Amino acid sequence: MLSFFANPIRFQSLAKWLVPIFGITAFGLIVSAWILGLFVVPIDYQQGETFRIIYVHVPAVTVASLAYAFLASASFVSFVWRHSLADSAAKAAAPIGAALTFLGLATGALWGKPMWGAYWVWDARLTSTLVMFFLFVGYMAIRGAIRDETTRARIAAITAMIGALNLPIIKFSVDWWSSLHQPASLLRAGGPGIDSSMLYPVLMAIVGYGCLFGWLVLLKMLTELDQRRSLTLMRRAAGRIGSSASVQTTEDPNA
Amino acid sequence: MIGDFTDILCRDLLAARRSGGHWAHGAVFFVMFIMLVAFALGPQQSDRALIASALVWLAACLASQLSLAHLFAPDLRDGTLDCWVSDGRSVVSFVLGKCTAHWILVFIPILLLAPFGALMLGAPIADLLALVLSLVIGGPALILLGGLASALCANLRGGGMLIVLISGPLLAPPLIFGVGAAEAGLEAMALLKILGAISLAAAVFGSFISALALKTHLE
Amino acid sequence: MLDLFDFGKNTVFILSCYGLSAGVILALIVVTLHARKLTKQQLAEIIANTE
Repeated sequence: MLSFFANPIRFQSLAKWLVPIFGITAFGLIVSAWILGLFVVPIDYQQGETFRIIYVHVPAVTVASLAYAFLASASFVSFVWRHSLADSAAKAAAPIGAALTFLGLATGALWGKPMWGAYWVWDARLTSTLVMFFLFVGYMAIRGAIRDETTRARIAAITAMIGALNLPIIKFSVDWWSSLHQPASLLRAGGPGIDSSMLYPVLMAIVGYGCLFGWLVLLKMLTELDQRRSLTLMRRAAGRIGSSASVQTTEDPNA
Repeated sequence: MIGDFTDILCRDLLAARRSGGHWAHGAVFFVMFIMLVAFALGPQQSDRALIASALVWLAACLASQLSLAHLFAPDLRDGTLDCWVSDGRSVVSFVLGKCTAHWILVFIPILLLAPFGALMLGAPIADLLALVLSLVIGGPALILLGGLASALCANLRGGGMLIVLISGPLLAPPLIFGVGAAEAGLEAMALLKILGAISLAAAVFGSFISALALKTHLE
Repeated sequence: MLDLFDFGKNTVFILSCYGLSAGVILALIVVTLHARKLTKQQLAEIIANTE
């Protein structure tokens, strides 16, 4: 199936279907989940009103991790089969993933202050999310530093795959490290017996953020395809003008 | 394979002898780091003893990364690596040879200085063996993973900044388990084993991926 | 209206979380859609000029 849609034309026709579906689903789910989360869901007896932050925090973190998985898989496809579409998918995913990771960290910090009394604690989950943020940033930075298209695609793909190998190791090390250094008395989010009326909006928000991610990635990929097409057309036109320059005088205002 | 490895190792060691002490960069940084840490923490001996191994590990980690930015870039730029590949020699051996030379030139001086640094920061003598052992076992991981970042960023604009950004997350696991092993002492064999596993994995995967990245830069 | 957005002593934290999320998401959407519109226009212009 992957190779079927590796053809840019087929991809474009599929994307034209998927874009409005993703966009509308994302909008509907996120808005309704937030309204439910802010105004409808009952107060958690342990955490009180701050529990409402879960509806922006958990989807951001979850979809950010999925975004990294997507980035790494697209990079793998791009590296092994040298598909330029896979590379452009990875390129599109990185800034969105970084933004979502940032949102996860920021909302986590704002949740931590009323709950733990500190904006930042070096808890295992926070720390590995921070590392993931740096993986996204590093990926984007290394893309920005390479001019040649093929080299860029390959080096960026290797970088993303190293990150994917490294993330579970970091998770393992940080888990061990924080169990050693942290007093294990942190009040955990969720915990046992979460009410289903509280859970549904979380799931809705996760699916909504996922659709938002897909929507943005597809839009960015379509944009890049159009950019490439403009470039080829311009080059071709320039070539035509160049070769027939002796016959044609410069009449074209856009030449 | 072995011949390729020793060739590049000998070449780098000879080049270092003629370089006018450039290899001492890491060791000097290590010493200065320890001194400045002492200034930053103040003259009280008691608090510093608790974190002495962590600080020495941090100093070793940073000092070993210092000259890594120039590990592969010169060979890539002046065509050495190009000749190497067109001779049909192994790039993995090239990477391993370079990293071994870097380990000998930069990390062995740090290893020799580490016990003194720890003592000056107030660590008890009984802790020194565990510290040095953890540095011996974890050191290869620091250099190979730093080398991996350096191979990825060889030949790039703004390479130095990129190397720091890429190698930071890679260095977290060896640093965590290295400091853990040094602080836990000799009874905690499990931590030293994990550290050894990280070093071995870095040697296998790190050199392979570095070679892949270098070949990509040559294309 | 103000009562609706009153979540007790932690109102500031809750509202800034939602506000920040909405802001960042909207910024992502605006940037992406703007780039899409620009390239579409550019492509249309180039096609019109080259034909």
